[in-house]
Amino acid sequence: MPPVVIPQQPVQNSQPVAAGSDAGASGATKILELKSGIAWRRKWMPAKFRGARFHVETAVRESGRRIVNHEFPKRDVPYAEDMGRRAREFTVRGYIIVYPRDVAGPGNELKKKNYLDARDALIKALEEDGPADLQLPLLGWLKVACTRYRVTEENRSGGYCVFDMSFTEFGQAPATGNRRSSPAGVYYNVNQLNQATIDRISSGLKAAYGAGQGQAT
Amino acid sequence: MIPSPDVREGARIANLAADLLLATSNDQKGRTGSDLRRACGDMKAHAENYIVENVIAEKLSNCFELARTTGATLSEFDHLRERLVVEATGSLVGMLIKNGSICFSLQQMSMVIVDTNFTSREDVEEVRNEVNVAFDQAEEVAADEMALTSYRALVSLHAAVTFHLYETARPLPQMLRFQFASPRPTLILSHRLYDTAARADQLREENKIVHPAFAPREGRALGF
Repeated sequence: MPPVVIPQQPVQNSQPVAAGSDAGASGATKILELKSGIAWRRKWMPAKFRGARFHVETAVRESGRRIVNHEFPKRDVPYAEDMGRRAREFTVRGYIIVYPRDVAGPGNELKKKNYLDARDALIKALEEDGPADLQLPLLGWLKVACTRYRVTEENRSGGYCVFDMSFTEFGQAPATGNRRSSPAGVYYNVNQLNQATIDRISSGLKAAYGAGQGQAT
Repeated sequence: MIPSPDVREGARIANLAADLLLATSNDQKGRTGSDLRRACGDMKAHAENYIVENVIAEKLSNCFELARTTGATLSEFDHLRERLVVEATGSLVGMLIKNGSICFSLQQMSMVIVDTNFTSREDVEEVRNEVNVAFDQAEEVAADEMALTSYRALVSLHAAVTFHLYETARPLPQMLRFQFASPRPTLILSHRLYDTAARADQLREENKIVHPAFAPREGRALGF
């Protein structure tokens, strides 16, 4: 009876392939060396609101179109009327946590043994009047207003607090869109009307006679 | 050159506007007054030529601008506008110049309003009612003429003026009526109303009091 030959199984390498290097020779690949999936990391930005930094656990962006549905009697086909873009809303769960040691320097506001300073700074920023810039790690930057926030401290998680924050897109007030301040608006529209009137008279005369044609024969 | 009847009618309207503009500043002296007189005189002398050469619009606009810089008031421009509105026209040229002059009047009225210092909300309200009537008529005419650009410009200017008047009126005091038991000097009235006698002159001017020692029992005063 011939011996049973078991074909050699290919080696299952559970380690991902490193970018441009021999993974096997250098040992385990670090996650930052992954070729796939590194692009989003390059776009990562520290989260902050009104300059107050925080860590982000989840960040949700919501928007869409403001659709009004019209349904008509005796008709099968409805009409979804588009009334414009819905205001963008952000729901963010952030946290601030103690750091084992104080790290000095700009951009290291969260790397402190005393996390209360960063927490209070964020609370102050959230309660301050007016719109502010919200920067989220991967959802970009927008001028928003904070509609509500909740900060949670738990006894069993000392040195750690959670912020649940809601923001809405600030946009721009209608009065500051195309409307100028009141005297400037009047001056601007006076010039517009002046030009329109001159054009109206000139084009009317031109259409009626053409230049130099308004003479009786 | 023998102008056609249409041109003659247009020139008649332009001459009427020039006459009314001259009437607004007959007491004006100096360079601005002479510029206005020269521009209006030029218009009256050469209106028919300007219509034929199609430069009447710029010339008329300049006359209105000069009238304002010489000191024509809101009511004078409004009177001019009302006078032109009732002027009958039967030709296209006449109608164009008449409606154009009305638009020029409205522009100058708007500029005068911007330069006016109001003292009470009632003053602003009065001007707003006056201006609304003027703009409504012009907008109606522009809509009937299907002059889209002019209509939009008129509506925009109307909105800008209304907004300006609203912004102006907001911080101003309201005008209130007062009534005392007997005639008193304006100094006493001022002291009783404002806790200071320093505003006696203001009361005298507002109520057109002949003699400040004998102010009438009833009158009007600013709310604060």
